[in-house]
Amino acid sequence: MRPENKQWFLVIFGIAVALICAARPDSALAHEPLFGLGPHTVGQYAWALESEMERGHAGWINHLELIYGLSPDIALTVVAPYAFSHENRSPGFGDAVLRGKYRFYRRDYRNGSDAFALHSGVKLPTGDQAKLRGSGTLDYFAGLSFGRETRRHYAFADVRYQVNGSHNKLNRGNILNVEAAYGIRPLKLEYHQPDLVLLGELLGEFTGKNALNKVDDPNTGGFVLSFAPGILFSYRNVMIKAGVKIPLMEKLNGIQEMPDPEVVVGIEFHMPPFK
Amino acid sequence: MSKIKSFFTAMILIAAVTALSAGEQKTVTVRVDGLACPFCAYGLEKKLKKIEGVEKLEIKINDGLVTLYFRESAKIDKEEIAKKVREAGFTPRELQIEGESKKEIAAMKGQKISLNVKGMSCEGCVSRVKNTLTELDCVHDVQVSLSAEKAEFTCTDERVDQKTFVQAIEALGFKAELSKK
Repeated sequence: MRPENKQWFLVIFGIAVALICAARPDSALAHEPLFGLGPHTVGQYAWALESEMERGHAGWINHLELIYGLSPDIALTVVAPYAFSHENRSPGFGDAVLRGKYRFYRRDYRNGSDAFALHSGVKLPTGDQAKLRGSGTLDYFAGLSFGRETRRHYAFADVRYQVNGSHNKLNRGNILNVEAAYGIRPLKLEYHQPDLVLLGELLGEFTGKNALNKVDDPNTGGFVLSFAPGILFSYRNVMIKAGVKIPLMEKLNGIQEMPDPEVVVGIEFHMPPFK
Repeated sequence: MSKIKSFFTAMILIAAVTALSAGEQKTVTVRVDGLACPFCAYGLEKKLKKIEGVEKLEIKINDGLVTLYFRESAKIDKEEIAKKVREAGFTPRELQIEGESKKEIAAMKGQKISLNVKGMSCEGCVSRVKNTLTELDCVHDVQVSLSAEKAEFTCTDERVDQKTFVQAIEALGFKAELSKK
């Protein structure tokens, strides 16, 4: 299969996965880890808007997200990242991402629930590569997440695998993430009162080596373990979230520096369902 | 003076209308499982407010309960309430309509039934008779007397054939007949 055909195949595959999820009649995103994945959804026909400012080695990027609940257990997300000027990069939109989530298991009980969800997504090469805002590749990921939510405690775990495409004979290494998070609500206040959740995430990231002309770059890839403390503060349908991802230990290949810490600050609005 | 009179008359009217409208509500309380976070409860609130006749609602997260206040003339559809809860991503459990229980209480005041029951020899027999009658949907306030050989209770549904009670007791091996009193 020619590379162009392969990319189109992956686009169609991503859309097909989203449509298969949408076709399930009984199957929606709310409290989630800041850096990991969670199984919660927004509810049927409900939608949410999110603006998440992220500061990492690539400077400030604002991830604008639109989330829609196709059914109680299915949510679709469109992410449009806006990259601010950084070193040689001029500001503008980067690579758009389409994500789907299907909560295939849910057990509700008084003041709590356990849930599992399947995740899939495609990153499209919509960013201008010449202006350093896009990778030029079509990347996709699949993942599985678990979440336990009670009035006092939260627990999340997820595993996901991202396959990166190639561009100009450069193939970036694939990424495996294994993550776990714990959250606690110090005060169990009622519905019309502000709500605070404190989060702690443990994030493991295994990255394969980059390959140029099918020759591995020995100074790329490896393993990084990070810890990310964060907060989720909500009032009614508005949530403010903030966290920092701090690399704790690394086992990187060749000669590489420890990655920079990442900061995330976001605001999310849950909107009423259309019908 | 006439202005003061008019003012007080208006105030009394407003108070009367307010009191009347406050009394013109039916309440439905639903236990909702999976309700753990206020942020998620917003979607549930908006879904339930779309049900016709809902004037306001109250979510008590710590109790896992949602109370819906319907206007008096509204038709309450239990299935629709349960469906909206499910669509919001939660699981509906017990649903209680306050108006219905008031009607039941009102009906209970109507029809008292008395049965003569022969063949009971101990408190165990009394319990069997009492439990059998209590299990019938329309039966409330069951009193069974061993010495008087009687079972007295209230039936809230006039359509029920009274022979049903006799047959239920006779199925236990006792002899029963409707009391002529």
